[in-house]
Amino acid sequence: MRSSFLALAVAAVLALSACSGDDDDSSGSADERPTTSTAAPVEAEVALTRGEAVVAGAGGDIALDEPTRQAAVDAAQQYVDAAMIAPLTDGAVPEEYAALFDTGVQASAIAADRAVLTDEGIPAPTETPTITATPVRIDGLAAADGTLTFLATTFSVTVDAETASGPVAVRRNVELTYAPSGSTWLVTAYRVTVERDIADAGTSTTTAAAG
Amino acid sequence: MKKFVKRTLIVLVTLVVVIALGTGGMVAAWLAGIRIPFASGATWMQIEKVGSADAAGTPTDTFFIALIGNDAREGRGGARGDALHVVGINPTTNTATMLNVPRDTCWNGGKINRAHAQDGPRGQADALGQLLGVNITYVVSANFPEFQAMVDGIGGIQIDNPHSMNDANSGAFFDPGPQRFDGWGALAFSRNRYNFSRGDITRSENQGLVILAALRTLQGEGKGPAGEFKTAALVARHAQVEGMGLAEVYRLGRIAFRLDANAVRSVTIPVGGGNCLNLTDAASSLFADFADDATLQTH
Repeated sequence: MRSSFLALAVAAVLALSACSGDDDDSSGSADERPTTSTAAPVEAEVALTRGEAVVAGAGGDIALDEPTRQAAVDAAQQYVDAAMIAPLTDGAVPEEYAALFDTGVQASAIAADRAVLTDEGIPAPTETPTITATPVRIDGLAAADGTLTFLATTFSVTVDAETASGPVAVRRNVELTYAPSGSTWLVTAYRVTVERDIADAGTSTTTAAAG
Repeated sequence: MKKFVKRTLIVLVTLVVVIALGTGGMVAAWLAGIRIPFASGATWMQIEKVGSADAAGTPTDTFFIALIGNDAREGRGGARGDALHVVGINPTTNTATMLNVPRDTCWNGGKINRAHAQDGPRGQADALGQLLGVNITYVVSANFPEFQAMVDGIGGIQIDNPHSMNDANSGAFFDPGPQRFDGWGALAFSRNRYNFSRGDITRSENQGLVILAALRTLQGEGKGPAGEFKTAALVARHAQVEGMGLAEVYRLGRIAFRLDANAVRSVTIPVGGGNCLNLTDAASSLFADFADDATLQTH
């Protein structure tokens, strides 16, 4: 009977896992519009929302508490604001960007993988861009006593912008894995894929992974 | 007689009620969010960190893992290494090579698998490291029942069997071609040596197929953090881990997930014939090629 129950339990978990895919938004194509004059500072923002949360535990799966869910989304929001929004509004990523990563991956995040992880260098928007994001899926890995060892956020962000040189479309699929560092969570591994369609530079897809 | 029937009925009814309540309670607990491990208490393997390695950040140093199947069974002491493999992983190139070591390989005047009987998995790993000229960092070992439980626990493995097998000793009766093996079948497949003219050597090659099939199966659990966490938790639930924590298990798993299982080279070390298999002249250059970066450039 116990084995039957366990079989049912396994089936239930597998079924739940099978239903836990991400909601991917298809990237929107920018309208063809006349270019405007010189770029001026624009406003841009996107508010990430919480998606499904699943914690795999060494002692069995556990539920993720509310504050930790919010902490995970906040950490993802910090990345989006620094890596994607700031380049649109200020033309560069802020200094705080580097502090989002732990020492294991910081060097690659700020140098070798910077062009994939951030939108620094893309043409400046001439009007408020359209930015959409999928709900943030949260995954966790817990030790046998329930202590969270890692958190991860998975989401996609799409940007459609008008620039002086024509429309720009960016779609970024983001997986960020965080390890606890004091009272905060720092990115300890990442896997990011960015598709860019820039008017006079063509289409490109690049991926960066570390950790 | 009536008294006996009455007592029997009471016992049966009590049993049914207890089972019903127990099952109901477990289902209720499940629905309430209390998660029960997949196979509570079942041990699939032992993982021991025996060398130094830093899996944090973006590891670049090549490292080596000994995978050992031992023949420990109830009522039989002095378990020997029955399946001996060393996997070299190069995290920079996300490539790996596996050297399969026949258990009858000669080492220090006897068969290399006796090292397990003398000093356990760590001793077996030392012997393998000395034979191949590499420093082993991690040892993963499992006995027969653990191996069976592991394969069953991950839902079986898919292997393209290159041989026709009809061996009563191991219980391997399999047609060639792609097929799914449960734990019992995978063990029989891994143990069969009497069907082959090269005996233990072919058996080692087959064990390599099993290991790569298990890697593919685990990778199929899902890409991304969800799959990686799920696999790490599964391993943590069923492994006795020494010398490392859950974080390192996860980071190792993440590296394993990046490997292309179809591109992992599985090479059986060159040995001669006889009861104790001596290395041939080709061995030293193979080992050197393997040891420098875990990638075979000239073999």
